[in-house]
Amino acid sequence: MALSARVRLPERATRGEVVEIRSLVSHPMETGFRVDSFGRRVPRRILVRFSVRYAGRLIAEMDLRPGIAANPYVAFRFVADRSGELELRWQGDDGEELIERGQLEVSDP
Amino acid sequence: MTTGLKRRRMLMTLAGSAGFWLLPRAFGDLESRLEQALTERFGERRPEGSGVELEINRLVENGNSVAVTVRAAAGEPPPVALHLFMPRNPEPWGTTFRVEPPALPEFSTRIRLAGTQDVVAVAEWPDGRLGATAVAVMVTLGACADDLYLEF
Amino acid sequence: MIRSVVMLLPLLLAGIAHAEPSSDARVSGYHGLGDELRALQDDDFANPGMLWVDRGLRAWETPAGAEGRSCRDCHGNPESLRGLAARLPRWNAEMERLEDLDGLLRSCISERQRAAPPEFESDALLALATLVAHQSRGLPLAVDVDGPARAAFEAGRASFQRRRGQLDLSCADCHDRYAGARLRGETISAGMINGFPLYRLTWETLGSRQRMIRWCNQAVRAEPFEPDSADALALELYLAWRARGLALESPAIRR
Repeated sequence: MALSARVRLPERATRGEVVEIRSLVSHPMETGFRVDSFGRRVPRRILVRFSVRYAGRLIAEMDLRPGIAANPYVAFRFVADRSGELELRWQGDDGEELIERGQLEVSDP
Repeated sequence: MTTGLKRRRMLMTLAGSAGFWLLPRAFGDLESRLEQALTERFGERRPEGSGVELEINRLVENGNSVAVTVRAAAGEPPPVALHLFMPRNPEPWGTTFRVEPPALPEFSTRIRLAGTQDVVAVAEWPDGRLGATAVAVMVTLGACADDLYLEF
Repeated sequence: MIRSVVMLLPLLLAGIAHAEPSSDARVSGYHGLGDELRALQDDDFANPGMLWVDRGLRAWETPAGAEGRSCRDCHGNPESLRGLAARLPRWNAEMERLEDLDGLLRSCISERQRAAPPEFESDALLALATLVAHQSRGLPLAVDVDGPARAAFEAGRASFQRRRGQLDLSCADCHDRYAGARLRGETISAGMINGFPLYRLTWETLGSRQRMIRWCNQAVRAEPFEPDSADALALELYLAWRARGLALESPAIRR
């Protein structure tokens, strides 16, 4: 199944406001520790990296390991300090990649 | 009745002695697994004090998806990374979340827990200092032997 | 005899703390969830089942097959199918057999789009099925068990009572007699199927009603039904009737 994501990005904020990014991405996060009914090890296939850029700056970067639940959910908050692009990127251990983008407009209070 | 009680007492004794043998070894093993994971991430450095909050239910219905929030306590400077360890999982290192202002030093995700264990959150500051918080989480077992039915 | 009972009892009853027969207890499995999982189901953003709804919507808009038609070309918005999933399975007079949501979607794809229907339990089929079922969220399950569907319904009812598998348990043994009782760390569900397709944590993915029935059969060490067989659909019809009146919750979250 191809990667697909649900993201909730802030679109508007006043400067200094704390806003939230929520993300959910379809991925089995196959641990590599499971065996099938023939006793064969199911090969590992996980997302290894989730990173977020805001107005060109890397503000968050997460290493994902097999202990992250299938269909990974990640949420965090940041202070809206300028207008700019939000870019969310997921990278898998098999080279697959998914990018979601949005625009955040920040106005003065 | 009497036979039943005797039988029960015998079983309890057996269970008790099994526990006596198994518990210290199991916990010792978990401790060394955590130690090893900390060494892999931090070398000689070890957490001193806390400075990090870990929000997680203490009783978990299913270990396949457990909501967790890690948050550094307010203070300057903020930590550069938040780490999660689940010592009883096949791979004890759960995740590392590196963060830079204006992002706040906190994140929420969903983790897997292979069984009842102490989940450990570690905050890492720019000077290399570490702080940790552990929460004991009980994971209950499902009604049927799930692992046998992978493909169903 | 006594010996075999003594040997079997711990196997069958281990962990059952109390056993109150509760026939016709129509309580959604939602009420068997803890706060964290209820919140997850109620969160239309973070509920992982919504990933399939999203994908279903993309498939809905995409022309396919020899006819080059999308679902939208015939049906308009997915909302036009509100109520459909709550009435399935139903009797198909032309085919003279029951059809459930998966079967109906596959027929529609092969007949109207003239495309190869997606496999049962494939992500493509689950995505469309979840999209369509989701349109009926909140509507009471209301299958028609009279008329030509009656014989299949009675077969399903009998199937529910029939002991099966190496554990020699019927569906009713667990989900009628012991619904609400504890088995290991679990509360035995009343077997209500109003949440499907649903995201099951044990599977770490989404599954259909038929997958759950297959899983249960495996759990009592019984031979699962052939997919899309008369036996499988008859039991599904009975289960849907048994959950009549419960609000459809797809995509629900279950353990």
